Amino acid sequence: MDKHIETIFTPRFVGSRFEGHRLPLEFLDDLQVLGKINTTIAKWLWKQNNVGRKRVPNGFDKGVSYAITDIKAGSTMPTVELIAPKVGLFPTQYAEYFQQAPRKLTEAIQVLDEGGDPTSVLPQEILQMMETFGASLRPDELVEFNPSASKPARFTPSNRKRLIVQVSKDRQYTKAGFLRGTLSELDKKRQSFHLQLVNGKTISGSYGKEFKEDLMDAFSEEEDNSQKLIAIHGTILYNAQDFPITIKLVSEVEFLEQLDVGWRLEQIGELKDGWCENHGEAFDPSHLADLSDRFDSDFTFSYLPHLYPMPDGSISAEWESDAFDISLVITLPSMSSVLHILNFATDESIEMEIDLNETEGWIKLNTHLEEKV
Amino acid sequence: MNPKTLLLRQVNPAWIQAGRISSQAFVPTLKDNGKLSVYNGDRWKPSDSHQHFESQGLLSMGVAAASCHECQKIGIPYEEDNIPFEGHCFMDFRSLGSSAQKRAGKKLAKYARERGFLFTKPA
Repeated sequence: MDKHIETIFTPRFVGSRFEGHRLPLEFLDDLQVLGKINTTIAKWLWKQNNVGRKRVPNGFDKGVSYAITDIKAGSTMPTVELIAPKVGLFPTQYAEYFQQAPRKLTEAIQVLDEGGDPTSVLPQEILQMMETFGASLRPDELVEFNPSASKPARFTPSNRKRLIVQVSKDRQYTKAGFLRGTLSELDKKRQSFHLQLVNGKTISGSYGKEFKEDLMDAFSEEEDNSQKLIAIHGTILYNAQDFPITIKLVSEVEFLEQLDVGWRLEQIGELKDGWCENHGEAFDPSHLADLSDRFDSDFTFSYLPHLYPMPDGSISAEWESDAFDISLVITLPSMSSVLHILNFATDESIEMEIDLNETEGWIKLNTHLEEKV
Repeated sequence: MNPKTLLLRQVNPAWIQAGRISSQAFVPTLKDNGKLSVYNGDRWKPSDSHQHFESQGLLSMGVAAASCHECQKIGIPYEEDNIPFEGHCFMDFRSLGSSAQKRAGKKLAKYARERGFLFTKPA
């Protein structure tokens, strides 16, 4: 049978991960979901036109399939095609519903992007299916469903959260991410665990067989009887206030070093106003997260620092060897810093300013540490 | 007080990571006006000083110390002023600039780390 082939979506993925026409593999699942949503919308549209009919006719979606054919040059715009059967020269009688469906979805996303109520365009249960689209989008990433239009129907992580919280029964939503903590309980029979987070709260999660060994290792204590620090990556269910509720799916168990920078900065982020003898303000978690990201990307020295908060809102990073004591006081959020190196043998010390906003600043820091520690 | 007298310093929980004391614990902050508060170890047991400190609603994870002799070696004067309580002393950083304060703090913290905690708050 001849096929009718038509492009139905060319979503544009925006963000540094998508530069050079790159589409991370995890987004292939997202694109697959667009096909399922399209068919569901097509069925809904048919029912709208045939009031009183509870089911679509037999063979409504027979022969209909979807394919990803191309990533357009200039940006990451995968092409999602609808493949529908043809009768003679024309697509089958139901094809028009499948062709209208993408416009409905785009319209709902545009309404959402403008702060409106997308349930005025599509029913709640269909919008709920969008939970499986864009779960791994990062805060600085988005998808435009109508990239060439003046109203590009942007699907951002915050739009996604607003949509899913609105249409879910419990005002909750899922997204891909990770949580740091220590394993406080492991139930091998039920394939579940409890993770004690850095803030002391405990949340539950379930895991697939492939993570049993890693989680058993994480549950065993270190030689000094302390608990192993881990980060569990996967799909996490959050409430509308962004507090994690449960880990729904584990995709990786990461073992962290004892001095893991992200862990320690998260711990510092838990300090309350007056933490230092009634002085010292609480830290802004987003400033600490920015510093953690810079350590991840630019700190190359083999030994992680001990990190301590200072009452003036800065962070002191400290390294020591037999001969040297080195401290780096980092002002937040400016990322200006002062490196102080004391040589115990000669009793000499040097002090210099380093701009950690610049890659050169990190190179300078790494070089000094290589020489002294 | 004599050169062997220990000057007891209460260590804020945030200034201990993986058992290591930050040199920040031995550098005065803005509120200290250059006078770093310590307890006279001849008059206060470490555990009592900790209890006394926390009874004022302040947090200490444990008690570390540098001796009077160590203060003399690095040129940090100290004094027992008994204000606001008997046995209250201070290490005097008032004549030092910021960089010199860091130098002294690092040396004092090194002595304290080598000595180890004299008292740690029970878990």
